[in-house]
Amino acid sequence: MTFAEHTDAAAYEAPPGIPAPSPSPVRLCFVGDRRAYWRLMVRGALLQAITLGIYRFWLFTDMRRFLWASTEVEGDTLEYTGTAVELLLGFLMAIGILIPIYALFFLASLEFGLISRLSGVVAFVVLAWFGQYAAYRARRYRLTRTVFRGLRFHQTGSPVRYALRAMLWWIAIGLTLGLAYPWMVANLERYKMRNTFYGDLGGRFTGAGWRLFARGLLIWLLVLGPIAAGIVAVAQVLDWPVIGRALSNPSSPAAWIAVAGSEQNKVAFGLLAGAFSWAVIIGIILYPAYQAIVMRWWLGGLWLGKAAAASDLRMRRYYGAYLRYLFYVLLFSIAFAIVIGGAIGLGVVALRGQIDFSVRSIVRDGAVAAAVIVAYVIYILGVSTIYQVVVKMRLWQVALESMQITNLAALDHVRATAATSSAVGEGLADALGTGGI
Amino acid sequence: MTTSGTGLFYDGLTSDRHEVAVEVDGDTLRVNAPDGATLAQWRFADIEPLATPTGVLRVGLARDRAAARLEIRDQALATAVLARAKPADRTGLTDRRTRVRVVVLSFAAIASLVGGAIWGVPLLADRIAPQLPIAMEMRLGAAIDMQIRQMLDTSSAGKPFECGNGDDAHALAARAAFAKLVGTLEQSAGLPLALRALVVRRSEVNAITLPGGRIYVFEGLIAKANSVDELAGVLGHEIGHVAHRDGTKAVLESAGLSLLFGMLLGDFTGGGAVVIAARTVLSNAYTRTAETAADEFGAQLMYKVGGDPHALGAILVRVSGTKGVAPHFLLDHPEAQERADLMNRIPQPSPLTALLTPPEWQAIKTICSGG
Repeated sequence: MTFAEHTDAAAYEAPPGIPAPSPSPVRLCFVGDRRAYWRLMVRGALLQAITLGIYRFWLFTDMRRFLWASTEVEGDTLEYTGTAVELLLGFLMAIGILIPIYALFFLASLEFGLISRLSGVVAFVVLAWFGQYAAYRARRYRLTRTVFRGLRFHQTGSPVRYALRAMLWWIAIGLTLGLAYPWMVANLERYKMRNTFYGDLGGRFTGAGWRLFARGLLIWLLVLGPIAAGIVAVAQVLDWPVIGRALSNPSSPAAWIAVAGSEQNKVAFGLLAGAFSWAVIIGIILYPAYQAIVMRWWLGGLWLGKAAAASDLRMRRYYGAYLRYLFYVLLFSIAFAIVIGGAIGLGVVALRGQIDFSVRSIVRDGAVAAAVIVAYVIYILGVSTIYQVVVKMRLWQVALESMQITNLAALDHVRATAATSSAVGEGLADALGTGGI
Repeated sequence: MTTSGTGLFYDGLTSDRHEVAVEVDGDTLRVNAPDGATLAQWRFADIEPLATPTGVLRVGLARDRAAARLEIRDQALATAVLARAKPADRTGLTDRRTRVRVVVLSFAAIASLVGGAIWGVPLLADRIAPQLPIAMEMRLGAAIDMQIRQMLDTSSAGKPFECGNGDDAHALAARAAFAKLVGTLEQSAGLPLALRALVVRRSEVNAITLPGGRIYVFEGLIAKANSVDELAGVLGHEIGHVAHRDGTKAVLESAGLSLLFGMLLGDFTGGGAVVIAARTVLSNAYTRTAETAADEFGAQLMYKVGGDPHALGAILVRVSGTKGVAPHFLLDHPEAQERADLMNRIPQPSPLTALLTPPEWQAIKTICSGG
C-alpha cells in the first residue's frame, strides 16, 4: 500500500513550529549544543585511550549522529543511522583485504632485480589508489546512512573508476606544481555529485575550476612563488665551476668541502632555505583562508534537483576558530604542565629517603616509563579533542550557517529508491588513514 | 489508557510531510491521517527513539530499510511514547550500557591480542620459519644485506668495508685462517645452508648475523678477543642464530607485531607512543629468548669441536664492563653475567683442542691492518 495515494501534504496547513515553505532562499541552521559535544568528545577520548583505540568506531558514530542531528534544514534535521558495529565489521574486513596485499608486497620486495626495485613504487601507487577507492565507498556508506524527512541519500558510480580518475588528477597536480588542483576538485566533485541522490532526486555540481583557480591564485603565488623564484635565483648565484669539479670527482671529500665553503654557494643555500621556510610559514598562516575559499566555492556549486546551495562564508570566522584553538591549547598546556609539575614535586617529597636512586630497579623504571607514556597520550589526546571541538565542529557549523538554499521546495515530493551499502569502504579508509567525518 | 496528540509523519516512501494524529494505545502506536485512515501502526517493542536536537521526539522502526519517521513536538505525548519505548539517549550518545559493554569487550580483545603477541607470535614464527624455503631466506638476507651495508659502511676511510680482501700474502693467510676457524665450526653445526662469514671494518665490539647465513664479525671484536676460543665462541653463537633461522623469525615476528600493534590496536591520536612501547618491550622479549638459545647452541658447538664453551661468557663479561643501567625489559640481550653463568654449566672438554695455530690466530688478529 502506498500512503502517498490517499494523503496529500499540500492539503494541510503547515503544523505549528514548522515554517511554511518559502520561495525565498532558506538559511541552514546549526542547532547542536557545544557543551554536549565537549562531553561526547572528552568521554570518547578517554575511552579511546583505555581501549587502545577500539572505541573509535563508537565515538565516530556518536560524532556523526550529533553533527547530522544538529544540521537543520527548514525545521527538519538530518539523521545518521549508521552503527558502530557496522564500522567495526567493515574495519575487520578491510584488514582481511589488506593483509594479503601487504604480504604480497613484502614477498615482491625480496625478489631480485626490477620487481624488487619497483615494488616500493608499485606499493605506493596501489595503496594510494586503494585510499581513493575507500574514500569513495566510505562516502557511499555515509550517504546511505543519512536520512532526511524519512528518505535516505545514496550514491551510484564506480569506486574503481573514481579512484583511477583521482590518481590521474594527482599526477597532473604533481606535473603542474599544484596549479591543476582547482580543476581536479571540480572534476571529482562533478563525478561525486552526479552520482549522489536524495531518494530519486539526483545531485550535480556546477562549481567551475577556473573560478576556484582565480580565487586561490594569490595564495598559490604567495606560498609557491618564492620557491620558484628562489630556485631561479639560486641557479644564478651558485658557484657552478666548483660544483662541476665536485660532480666530476664525487668521491673526493675535498671537492665537496670546497662546494660547501664557497661564499656564493652559502648565499644560494641560504636563499633556498629562506624560500622554503617562507613557504612553510606563509602556508600555515594562509591555510584557514585556503580552506574557507575552497569551502565557499564548493558549497556554491552544489545542486540537488532544482534546489541550489549558495554560501556567504567569511574567512575571518575560520581564522577565529583557529585562533581560539591556539588559545585553548595554550591554556591546556599550562594546566597540564602545572599538574605534571605538581605530581612530580609531590612524588619527590613523598618518596624522599625511601628510594635509593643510585640502585637500579625494574619496577621503578617501568613505572616511570609507563607514567611518561600515559602523560604523553593524555596530552596528545587532549590537544586533539580541543581540535575536534574548537576547529572541526566550529568549521562545520560556520560552513553550515553560511549556506542558503534556493528552491528548497524541490525536495518536497521526492520518492525513495535507495538501498544501504556495506561499511567495508569505511573500514579500508580507516585502516589506510583516508577516512573523515 | 489512550493518550493522543499531533505529530509529523514521513512515510519513508516520499519526502512529503504528513500532519497526523497520534494515538498511544496499550503496546501500539497508531498514526492516523486527518481523514481517519491509519497510516502506520507500530508496536512499541519495535520502536526506537532517534537522535534529534532537544524538543523534538523522533521515532522510527528499528531496522526499517524505508526509514519511516514520526516526529512529536507535543511534550505530553512525547513523554507517553518515551515511557513505553526502549530507552535511548536522544542526544545521540551511545548509551551507558553499550559503552560499558564495549569497554569490557575491548579489554578482553586487548588481553587476547597481548597474549597473542607474547606467546602466539613467537610460537608461530618458530613453526613457520623452518618451513620457508632456504631460497627465500637467501633473498631476504640479500635485501637486508644491502641496507645493512649502507648503514654500516661509513667509517672505513677509503679502505674496503671487508677486511683481508687483498691479494698479498698477509691477507691470504688471514683469510685462510678465518675460513679454517669458520669451517671447523660449520662442519659440526650441520646447517641447512652455507655460511658466509666476513670480518668488517667497524670499531664496535660486536658481530651480527643476517638471514641467509651471512655473519659479519666487527674489527672491534677481533681486537678485544684474547684467544681463538673467544672469537670461536662468538662465531658459535652467531652460527646458532643461523641454525635457528632467527633472522627470518625476526621478520615474521615484526610483521605479526605490526598487525597486532598498529593495525588492530593503538590506532588513535597519541597511540603511536603506546605502539612503540609495546613493540619495544615485546620484540626485546623475543630477542632475549633467541639470544639465550643461540648461547646454548654456541656453547654446545664449542664443546663438540673441542673448544672452550666458557670463552664466549668470558669475553661478554669483559667487554660489557660495568653493569648496564637499563631495566631488564628495555634490553634486547640478557645481561652478560647471566649469559656467562648459563654457558658455564656446560662442561669443558678435556683436553681442549687448539682450534688454530698461534700464527694463524696472529693473522686473524691483524686481518684488518692490511688493505
